[in-house]
Amino acid sequence: MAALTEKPTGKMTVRLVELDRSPERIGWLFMRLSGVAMLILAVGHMVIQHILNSSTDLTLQFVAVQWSSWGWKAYDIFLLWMAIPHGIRGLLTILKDYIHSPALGRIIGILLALFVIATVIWATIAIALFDPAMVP
Amino acid sequence: MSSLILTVRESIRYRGRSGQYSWMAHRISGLAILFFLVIHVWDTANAYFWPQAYAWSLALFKNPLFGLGEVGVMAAVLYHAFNGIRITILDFKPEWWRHQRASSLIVWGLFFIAFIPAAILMLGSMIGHCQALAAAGDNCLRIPSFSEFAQYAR
Amino acid sequence: MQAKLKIRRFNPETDKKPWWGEYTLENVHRTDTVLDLLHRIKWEQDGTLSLRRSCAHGVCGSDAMRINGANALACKTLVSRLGSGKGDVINIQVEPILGLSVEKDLIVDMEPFFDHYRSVMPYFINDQPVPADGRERLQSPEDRHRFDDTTKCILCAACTSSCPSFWADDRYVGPAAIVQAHRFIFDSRDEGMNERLEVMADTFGVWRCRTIFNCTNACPREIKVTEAIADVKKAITSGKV
Repeated sequence: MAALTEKPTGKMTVRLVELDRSPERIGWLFMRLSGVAMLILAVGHMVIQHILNSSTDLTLQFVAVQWSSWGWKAYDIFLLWMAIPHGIRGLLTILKDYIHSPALGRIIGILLALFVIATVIWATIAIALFDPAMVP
Repeated sequence: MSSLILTVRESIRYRGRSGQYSWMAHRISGLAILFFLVIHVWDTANAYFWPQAYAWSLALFKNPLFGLGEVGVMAAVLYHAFNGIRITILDFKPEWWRHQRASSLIVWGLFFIAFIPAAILMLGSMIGHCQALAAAGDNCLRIPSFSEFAQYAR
Repeated sequence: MQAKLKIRRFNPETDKKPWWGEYTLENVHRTDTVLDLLHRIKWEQDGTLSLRRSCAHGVCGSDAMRINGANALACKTLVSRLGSGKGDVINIQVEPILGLSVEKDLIVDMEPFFDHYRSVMPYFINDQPVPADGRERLQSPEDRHRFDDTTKCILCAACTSSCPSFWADDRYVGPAAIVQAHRFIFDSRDEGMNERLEVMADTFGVWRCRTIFNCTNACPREIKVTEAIADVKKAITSGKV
């Protein structure tokens, strides 16, 4: 099932264990990695849209100027891929706290996963295919 | 014992300390952000799929009611981000959990330091926008009509 | 001074739902414990008040309860620390711990708690032959120190019953079980860490911990519970014990 090796380092014994990769553990790591990424991307996005610019200046022309560069498109796509799964996984965590039936939990998990896939694909297409020339 | 109402009620009644409040604020801010984010992503995708609707929604969101909502989202994002980083750092070095209380208070402090100037700027620009519209004989509470953006139709 | 106690009462044989019993005690000293006051009420005013207690000195873990809204051992909670009252009157509210069903008054069903405890195999596992000289398996002071904190657990359930994740779903193994698992996982003489970490890495293991920190605040032995749980999470993600 799992391997064990002894590897004393210095005065404290450290041993290696090998565990099966559980989905819970991957989810736990993903929340933290995506969270750190979003500290820059999401907070940056909020600062750019609301502090450095004013939301009262936000028009389709403004968006067209931003998305005329692939740099900004890539930024927003990456932010999207971090934010939607992170948020929906958070929602799933809260729902799983209170929903105890395993069957219902699985159904909700599948529905939310489908929602994530649909949202991420829909919005990625929108950003990638957006052409500033379309905007009068 | 696992009923939702009982759990939520006892979570509020139990006299927890900074850790419990941080957890509650993290959950509530997370849900608030998610609610906003889903609407935002589907709406912004309209920039490509339905530009007229997108341009209309951008005009609608200049309404001060939405502006207040945006200030709320800014608060939620800042708190959730800073507290999330606190949790990530403390999980990375477990022995630092003995500094839990200090770390919670630092997060609240950083939150206010970042949020208060941001809120002032955002509210200021909202008020400025309303004043500019009023000076031009318009009203910032007016809901724009869809047909005003016909030039963006595909 | 005077103490006014509000105690959550429930007798399944006569009550449909729990109710608050109110009791007043005179001649209360600041050095009295809440257990002392509960005893006086039981012996002087209402013999039907039911509670668990044994050593009355903070080592057996029998009398964990919610005192003024937070979990503590009744025998370790001094009246002087419950400064909720004006002048010469102290107001104290006593309720059973949460998350475990109430059997009577302040007595809860501890079996689910002990089931979770048993699930982490809280006993020494080492199938290697004993040392040739017939003496102990040796361990350096540093190795001993690693799990020293989690040896202190007295299974009072104050931590597990203070955890909102446990209240939401009592299939969560709970802080106490994780502390007990930690005591063996990080013991260099023990060889059962794989089995125990599998239990910990399970859906209802450590991942239910949201670092709310109520457990660490409630622990009467001052064990750094959240830190111990974080140690286990780190062992699972890093593969190093």
